[in-house]
Amino acid sequence: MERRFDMSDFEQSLKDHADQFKLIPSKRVWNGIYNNLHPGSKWPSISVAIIFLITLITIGSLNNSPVGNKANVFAAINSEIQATGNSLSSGHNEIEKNNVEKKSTGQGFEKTDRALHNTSTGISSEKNISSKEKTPADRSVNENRSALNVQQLPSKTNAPVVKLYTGVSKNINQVLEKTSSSFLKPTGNSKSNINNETTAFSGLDNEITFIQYPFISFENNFAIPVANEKALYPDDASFKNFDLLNAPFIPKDTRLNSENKEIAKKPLKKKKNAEWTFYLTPLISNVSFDKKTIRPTSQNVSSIVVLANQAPSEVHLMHNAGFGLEAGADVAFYLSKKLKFVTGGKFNYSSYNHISNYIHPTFATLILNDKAGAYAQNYVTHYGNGQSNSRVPLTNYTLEAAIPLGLQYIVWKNGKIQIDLASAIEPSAILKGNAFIISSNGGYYINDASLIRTLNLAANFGSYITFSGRKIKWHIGPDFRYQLLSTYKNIYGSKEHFLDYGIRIGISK
Amino acid sequence: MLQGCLDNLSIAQEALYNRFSPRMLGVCYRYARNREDAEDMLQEGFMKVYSQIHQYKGSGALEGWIRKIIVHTCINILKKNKKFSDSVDLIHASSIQISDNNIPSMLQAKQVVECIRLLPIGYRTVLNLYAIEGFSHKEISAILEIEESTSRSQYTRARGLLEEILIKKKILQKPRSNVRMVSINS
Repeated sequence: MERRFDMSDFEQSLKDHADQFKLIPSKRVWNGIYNNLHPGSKWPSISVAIIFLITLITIGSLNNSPVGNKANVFAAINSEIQATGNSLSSGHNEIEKNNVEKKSTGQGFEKTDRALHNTSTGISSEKNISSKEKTPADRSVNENRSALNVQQLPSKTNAPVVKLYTGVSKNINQVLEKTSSSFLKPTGNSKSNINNETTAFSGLDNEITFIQYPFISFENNFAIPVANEKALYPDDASFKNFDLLNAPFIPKDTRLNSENKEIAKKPLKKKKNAEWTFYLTPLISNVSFDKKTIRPTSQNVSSIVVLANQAPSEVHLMHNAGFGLEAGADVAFYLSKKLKFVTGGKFNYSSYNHISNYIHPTFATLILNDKAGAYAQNYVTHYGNGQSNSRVPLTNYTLEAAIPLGLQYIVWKNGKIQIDLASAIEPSAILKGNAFIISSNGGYYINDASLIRTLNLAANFGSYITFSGRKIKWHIGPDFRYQLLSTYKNIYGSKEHFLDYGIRIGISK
Repeated sequence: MLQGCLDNLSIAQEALYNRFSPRMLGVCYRYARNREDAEDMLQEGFMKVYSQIHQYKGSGALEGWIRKIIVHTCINILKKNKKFSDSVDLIHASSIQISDNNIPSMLQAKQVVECIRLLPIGYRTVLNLYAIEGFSHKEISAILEIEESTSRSQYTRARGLLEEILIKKKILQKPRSNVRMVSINS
């Protein structure tokens, strides 16, 4: 190009003004240039993200199969049963008729209880706490009271209050806790009392009837059902109409109510040098237990044992991983060139499933500890520990609102791609939850959401890849969350911690 | 930086881009219809710069060498879409409406550039090449594949029209009589 030297002043002035003119190009221009110059650099990040997704799916599918925790559920009970003699091991079937007259609520229990007082030792039941009625059975109990450390326990049901023997006793009758003899004594062929449209068991009504199933008889005409799948599996029609299902004491199996409104939190004020990120994290939720407390000790005596013939002394408590979701917004403040302080707000839903099975409604006990000491809380349940057929999943979940407080460090960065490492502590408030808990003897699942903590604490770790677009940035990467405090309050001895892992997807400006 | 670009280092390439891209985008903006087209021209121009960086021998300023590539890239893109003919430009020239709303208040340099962009594409290209880039009409005719006379006539018309625009925008003072235009008010 040959520069002309005969430019007029107008042209020179025009040129000077034009040369002064500058425009800042948008980021897409350099991104396009870089991608054309280095076409292979984007593929490692995409392939890493794909590997993360495949890993997550694989882990989720592997953890979806039932996982068992060994527990000596019936060790104490079985040892006592074996000690009583041959009548326990033969599978002797004997049905004992017990015609119960039509009486008002509670009286049916009284008559049957009196019969048991005369026939068994070491077991007594009282209609109310203040009653001082003594029976021959009570006298024998009193003789051993000091050794057995008998406690008078409060009961939350209308059923007769029972005495819980916390001491070790070799007498099977003392070991078993009787809350209602109706469970033990079927009516057998009580045809006159059987109503096909009504329930098989109507303990709180005037009539008590049972489905026939084999029992093992003890001395003194005391019997317990034999470990038998059919015995454990009630008739569908009768089971569904069972009145105790409507009993107020049985908490409803609440699910996440879609009508519940989320608690809205005010977003933080936007500050300078702050970067907002909105994200969504699909999760696989699992749980870890404190195994020591899963095993019931010999002191944890609870309700009726129905698996007297079960050979293995350990029973696997099974649970599945469940799906969860996390959604929230973070704001990051730059502390230095590579380090950022991160806070914000999020909602987290975590769940997992216990594998249970339907059983004949029964009483179960949970041993709790408060400042005054140990005490037992009774429940009525129709969920077993999953050892037989007709399995049913019981979902435990928590919905919580959390405020993450943490740091984010930029590991590597170029014009378009950035890799971060992040960690945070998340104090949280439990908004809603469901808790199916194994009973103290490990035989049943009971539902008591009041045992869930209201406040909790979690730790979060993540590694994210950031892709810078024209106007927004995309973040993707694995995310791991561990619940530091137990799901349940300290009065419940078992410790449970949620483990959530997923892929976080976010956008920021 | 130059050696880094020869070694295909992304850091050096980005440094080169950050240093010269604002001014080069200004160059592209004078040729393009809008900013997006200007950025496309800039991107393609820099791709050629990086691919031909080994041809730079160090004689003359690097900016001038890059500018030359950018200008040729802009021209090539325009030639794909436009034909530089008198008839087309005359039609465009007659349809220009100069009003106060055409150009918002801005700095002087940008005002001048925006006035240039108001010209039809053919007028604008010839004006840019002759008055700003310093090409001769002979070179312009070779670049744009037009006659040299066409280049001269288009430049004459472009300059007249630009003056009229600048006067309307009060960027240029209207001459009182036969006094020749001296310079643009700064």
